[in-house]
Amino acid sequence: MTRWDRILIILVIFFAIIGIILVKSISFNEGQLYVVVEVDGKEYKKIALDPNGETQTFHIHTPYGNSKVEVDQQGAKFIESDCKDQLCIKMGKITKPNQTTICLPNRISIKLISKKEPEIDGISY
Amino acid sequence: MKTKKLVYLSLITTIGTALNILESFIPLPISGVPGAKLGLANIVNLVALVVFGLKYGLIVGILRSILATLGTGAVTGLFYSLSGAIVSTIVMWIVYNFFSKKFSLIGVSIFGALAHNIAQLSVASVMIHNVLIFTYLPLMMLMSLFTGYFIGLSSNYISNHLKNILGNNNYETKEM
Repeated sequence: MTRWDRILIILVIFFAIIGIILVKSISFNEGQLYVVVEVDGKEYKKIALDPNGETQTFHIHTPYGNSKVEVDQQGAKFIESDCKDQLCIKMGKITKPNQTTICLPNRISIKLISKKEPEIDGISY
Repeated sequence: MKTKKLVYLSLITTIGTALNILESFIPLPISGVPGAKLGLANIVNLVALVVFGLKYGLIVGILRSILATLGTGAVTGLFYSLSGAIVSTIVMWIVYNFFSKKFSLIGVSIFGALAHNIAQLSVASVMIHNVLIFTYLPLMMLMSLFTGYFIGLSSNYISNHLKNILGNNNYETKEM
């Protein structure tokens, strides 16, 4: 172990930590989330989530029933629905990409999707 | 001496292959870094490089990769291990040859591990058409510090003894 070895190790740790921080910040910036509302499998509405935006609510009218959805800074949730079981309200707020909340009787599904490239599932060496 | 060299190189390559296969049975208790491994077989690369020089280091590395692929059966892994072995051997040789006054074998080995990772990630990003895989690099750099340190330390002991043995043999053959 010479002095240069120690310098090398410290440099590598330094760069690795900088790299980890960079990677973290990139993945946070790229993660623009969209709320996609689908009725009967067809896209009904698409809203970009804005971390500094306002909370908005809107009604969804379908031939099967009516629901009220709230979209705020972090995610989306059902707040009112005229369906019988009220399961969609009990599902709560979705905040992460690829989460869904569904009102089955009214055939409404709300998805969070992110514009980011899909991440790698796994690598085998 | 030629036959002796041949025998030693074959032995080293065989040991490397055995280490490579053995290593695939050792689970690393580190989550979050898929594909990370100890790289025990790189001991053999480094020893061949230090004792016999660049040419034989490369030969041992390439042969070891091919043999280990046959042994573990991961054929797609051949490209990763070949690229890693070739690039890391060349980088280690550069560091060992030109900077050996500054870096001990531990430093050489850490350089080799870093080069190994970068080469493998480059090949992987070409193969799966995704540059995002380079986001693994910082984590792998941290891992390669530990594995590089361990391998440098082991190679130091092995190459010292091997040099002694070969040196004695040289002496004997000259006398005879």
